[in-house]
Amino acid sequence: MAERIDIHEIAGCTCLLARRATRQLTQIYDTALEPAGVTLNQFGVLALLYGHTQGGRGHLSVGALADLVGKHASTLNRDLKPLSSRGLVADVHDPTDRRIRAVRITAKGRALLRNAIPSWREAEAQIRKSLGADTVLRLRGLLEVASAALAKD
Amino acid sequence: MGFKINIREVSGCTCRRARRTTRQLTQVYDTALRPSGLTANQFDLLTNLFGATLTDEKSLPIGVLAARMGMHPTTLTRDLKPLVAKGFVTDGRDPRDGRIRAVRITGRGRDKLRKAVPFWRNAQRQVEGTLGLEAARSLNALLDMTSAKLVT
Repeated sequence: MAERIDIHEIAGCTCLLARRATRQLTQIYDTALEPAGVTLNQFGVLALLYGHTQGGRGHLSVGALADLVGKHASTLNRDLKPLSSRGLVADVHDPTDRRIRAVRITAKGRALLRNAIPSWREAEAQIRKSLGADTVLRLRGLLEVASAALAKD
Repeated sequence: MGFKINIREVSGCTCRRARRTTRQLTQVYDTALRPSGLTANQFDLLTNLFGATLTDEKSLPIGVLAARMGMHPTTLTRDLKPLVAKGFVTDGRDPRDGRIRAVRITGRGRDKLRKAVPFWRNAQRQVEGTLGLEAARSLNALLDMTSAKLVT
C-alpha cells in the first residue's frame, strides 16, 4: 500500500507559497509599470545597471550584472535582448579583455527609468496599502534573511 | 532636466526581494525534485489540482486555477501543456458549464505526485534547516497572508 498524499503537508510548501505571492506582487508592479513601457523585470535590470555604473558613465560585465540580478548569465542575456534592441542598453567592449561582454545604460534608458519611477512608486504604495506597512516591513526583513541564508548554502 | 534617480530607493523594491528569494527557493526545489521528473512549478500545479479533488470541485476551471496559482491564464495554459501531454492532467469541459475549460488531475497524475512527495520533503527540510524552523514557519505565514490580501 503506497503512502497517502497529505494535502496539508504539501500545501505548506514554502516554495509554493513564495511563488504564488511573488507572482501576485509581480502582476501589481507589471500593471503599474505598463504605461511606462517596461516590465518589472526590465525596470530592475535598468535600475541595477544605472546604480552600479555611476548612472551610465561606466559599464558592467554581463556576468557581474547577472550576479546583481541573481540570475544565470544566459537568462540575463535573454532579458537584455529586448532592452538592447530598443536602445535602452548598449554593448561595451572591455578594452582590457575582448572576450568579456559588458553593457551600459544609454541616455534613452536613463530617461525611461526616470519616467518609470513614479509608476514603480505607485506599486510600492499599493502594496503597503493592501498589506499594511508593518507586514511589508516584516515580509521584506524575512525575505532578506532567507535570501542571505539560501545564498550561503 | 528631470529629477535624479535615487537608486537606494529603487533597490529596496519589495518585489525585487521577493523575486530573488523565490528564485533561490525554486532552485532548491527544482534540484530536489529532479529525480521525480517534475519541476517545482509542476509540483505546485498538481498539488493544487489534487487539493481540488478532496473537495466537491473535482475539476477546476482554468480561471479558478489561475487565481489560486496567482498566474495569468495564458501562462497557466502553457505550463499545463506538458502535464496534459504526459497524461497527468486532463483538459476538458466544465461539467457545470460546457463553455468553460476545466482541468483535472488523473490517476497517473496523482501517482506521479505521490512519488514526488519524498523528494519535495527533502527540499522542504533543507529550507527549514537553512532558515531555521521558526523563521521558515514565519515566512510561510507571512507569504500566505500576503497572497490572501493581494487577491483581487
